[in-house]
Amino acid sequence: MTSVRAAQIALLLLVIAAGTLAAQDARLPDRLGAQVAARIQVIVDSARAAGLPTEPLVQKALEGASKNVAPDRIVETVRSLRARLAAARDALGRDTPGADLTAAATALYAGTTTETLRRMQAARPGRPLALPFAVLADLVQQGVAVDTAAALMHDLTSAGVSDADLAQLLLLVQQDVRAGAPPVAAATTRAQGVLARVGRGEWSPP
Amino acid sequence: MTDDPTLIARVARDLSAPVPTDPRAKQAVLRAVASRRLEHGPLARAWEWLVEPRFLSVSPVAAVVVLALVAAAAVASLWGGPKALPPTRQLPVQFVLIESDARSVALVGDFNNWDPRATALAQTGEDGVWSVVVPLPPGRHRYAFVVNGGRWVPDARAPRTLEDDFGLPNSVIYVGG
Repeated sequence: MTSVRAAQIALLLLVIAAGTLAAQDARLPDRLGAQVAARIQVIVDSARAAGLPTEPLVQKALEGASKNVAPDRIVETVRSLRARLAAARDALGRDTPGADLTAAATALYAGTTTETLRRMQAARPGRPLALPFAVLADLVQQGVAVDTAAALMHDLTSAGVSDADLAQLLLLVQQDVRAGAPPVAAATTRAQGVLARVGRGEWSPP
Repeated sequence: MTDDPTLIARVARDLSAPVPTDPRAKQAVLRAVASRRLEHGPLARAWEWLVEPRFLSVSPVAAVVVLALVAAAAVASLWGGPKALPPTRQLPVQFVLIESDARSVALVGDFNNWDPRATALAQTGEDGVWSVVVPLPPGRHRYAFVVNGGRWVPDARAPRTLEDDFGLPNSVIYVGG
């Protein structure tokens, strides 16, 4: 009877171990080495178990590997990204697509609040939010204050501006800033231009 | 045609009765069949070996290992380990870097696992102009160039990304959907 119980336990352990091996991402040990890959895999597995997208975590780790970053810094950066993904999911809901969560995590990195994420979601119900969140973050990178960028993106998404127009807005702001315009003025002016076109019915279809 | 049951029963009895055979003829047939089997080629013998029923002796440890592997495969497929994403529409995007002192230029980004070996740029014939066209799915992509195998260079004509967690800036491109 004892041997039967031992065999059952061994079977259970083997199933768990083999299942874990089967779920491992082969890209991680190839680029990071076994030890660092194992630490990253723990974070990836916990994200998967929580219903979060895992590919951004793997890509962040691979980016760190290509840049020859110290292992501890890679692990910490991936862990931080996982926390932002979880915060975005908590703010936007469990059914939020992975692309939206990934962009929302970038917006949080830029300093956006979860309340801003929720307001933008409410302003654009049932439609993808990945691009508005990402453009918000990239406007901050251009030097636009996060509160201004958030307010502009909320107004633009509420008005039904398309993803293509939002991406175009970012490029125009970048050009204006490089030409010497203050970032906030550039973003505000360009956003007003887009909203005026929307008012005249001249915007790209969503 | 007849409906006589007696006649039908007699015919049936005659037809079902064993046919007397010569024992020597039977032995001759069996010998012939055995010799035909020996004449089979290796493929036929292999097929017979495969389809012939037999008992297998497996140790408990081996059985546990096999069962564990089968169960692991089932768990992995249900759990949803790393899976290939469904194919999405991709659009050709050209990346250009002007770098007069470059001997090699690679494109790295979140679309090629940041692998400097994955996407090499080619010189276009003019000094220092490097280019590559890459199919990308719609959305936002982060990328950079790697010059001469080690120097990271952002795209001067594209916005920088905010998330330079590792101290080397990346660029961002939006691909239309």
